[in-house]
Amino acid sequence: MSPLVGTTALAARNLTKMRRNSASVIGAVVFPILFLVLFNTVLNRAMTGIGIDYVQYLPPAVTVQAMFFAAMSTAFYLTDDRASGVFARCRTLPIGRLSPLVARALADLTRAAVSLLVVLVVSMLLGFRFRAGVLPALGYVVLALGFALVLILGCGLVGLYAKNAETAVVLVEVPYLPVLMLSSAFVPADRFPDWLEPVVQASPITKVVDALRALSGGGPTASVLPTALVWCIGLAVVFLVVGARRMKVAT
Amino acid sequence: MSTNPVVSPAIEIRGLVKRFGATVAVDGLDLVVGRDEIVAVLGPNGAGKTTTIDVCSTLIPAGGGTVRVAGYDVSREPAAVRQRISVTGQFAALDDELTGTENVELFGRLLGLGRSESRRRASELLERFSLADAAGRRVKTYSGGMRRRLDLAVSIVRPPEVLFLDEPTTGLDPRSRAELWDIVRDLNEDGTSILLTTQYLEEADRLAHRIVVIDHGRVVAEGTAEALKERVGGSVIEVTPIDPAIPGPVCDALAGLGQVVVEAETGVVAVKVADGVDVLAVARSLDAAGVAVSELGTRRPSLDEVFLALTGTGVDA
Repeated sequence: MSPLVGTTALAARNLTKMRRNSASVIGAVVFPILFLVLFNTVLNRAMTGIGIDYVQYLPPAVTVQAMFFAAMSTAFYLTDDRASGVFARCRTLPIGRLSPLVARALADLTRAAVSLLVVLVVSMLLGFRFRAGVLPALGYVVLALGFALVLILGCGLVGLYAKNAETAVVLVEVPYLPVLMLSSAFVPADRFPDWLEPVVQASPITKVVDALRALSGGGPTASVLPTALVWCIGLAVVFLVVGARRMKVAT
Repeated sequence: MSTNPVVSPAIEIRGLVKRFGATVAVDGLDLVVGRDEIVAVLGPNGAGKTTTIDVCSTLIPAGGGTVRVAGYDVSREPAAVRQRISVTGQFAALDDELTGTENVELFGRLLGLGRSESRRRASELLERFSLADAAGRRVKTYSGGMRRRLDLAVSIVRPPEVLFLDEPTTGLDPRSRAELWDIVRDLNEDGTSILLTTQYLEEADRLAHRIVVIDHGRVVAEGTAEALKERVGGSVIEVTPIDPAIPGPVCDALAGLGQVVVEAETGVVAVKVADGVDVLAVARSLDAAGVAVSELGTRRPSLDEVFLALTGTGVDA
């Protein structure tokens, strides 16, 4: 049997489960809308005051945040499948060894795509525009989903180690906040305290958000895009290597 | 491989060893399950039952020894093994958020059945396992017995050659347990070889053709329930006092024969004796002591008593 059939059947099952879980739907659709509308309403004037075009500045940040939410779902559901025994049962079936993991990634990537669509539509309603043209706009979508995939791999790793879904959620939620806040996502890097600025500048999140801003706002991409891509590929390789080792023993 | 899979045993375990760090979970286990046989692996918690099933079902690698399932080596030909087995774990591995039908359909799809074939098979199995009424309900609303039946239905979407059942009735009420036993017997009659682990001696006694008692990762005894009882030897003399509320005099009269046990519920006094004890002599001594009894008889030791004798612990210890 083609390994594709098993993978797509499992991915479809994953999506059905997410659709039926209101927490997943709220996380994927309602949260990004809340963030966009609330942040824009509360902070727009203050940020304009320091020379920032906030309607243009905010969406890449919420994009990255939505990708984080999608990846957190990977950690939660993967651990849940391990705890319930579904994961082990799948491993006794004549399907590809990686099918359950690929199916998980596919489902969460689909969720990331839905979130991205929501973010972009709402952002445009608020006045956000792709000023750099069609190709960079496509680049924005690809980079956002590519970054989501990297996060999914990282959270998948957590999902392969955590004992239960609650632990998995804590293990990804706790680093999520400082990692996102200590980047240029919500505040420009040069507005951080001096001692923190180097940390913020070095953050891969900063690289990705800056690249998304360049791709949407029309800034120079040559200086930011390659670094973002190197980070994404590097992290993906690390996650995959560690994950492959873990897969040999995970049940 | 020189083995002909068709005539090879369903399961053939030779010298299986499995360690987890410093813990030896399985320590040189030998076990053969013939085609069409139901074999029960009986042992206390931590005896190595689940680890053995995990190795047989290709979930974890063996640390030593060889394991062949349906004629194929689990470490060298895991894909061929997976084509021929099904596993029902200790906890029903089901999706609570999916309906009964959806659960069965999913595994039909995973096993290569087409969409409509999966659907047809799901409704057929749910009907057969008395789950048709609940087919459209989410599994989280199911009772324990319904979950176990659905779990078994999922396991046989494609009838396996070898079925592993890891404590299939743990936590079930007696009626659900009996229903599950019927299903297991039917599967066996349809040609599925079954290895089941259990902590319930009654389950092993009632369901299995053969019982393998394991302790500390090794086989300590093997055979039919009768043969095991034979092996431990001896018999039990049971005496029911005329007034079950007053077992004292009977106990005193039997004390010379061995350790006397009074069954709390019935007041029956039991004493384990060597084979060949003269029951009539026992009756006479009761009579001489002036103790009236309503029933007197001998029986084979129960599997519980056998188990205790073989492993030195109770099953639930």
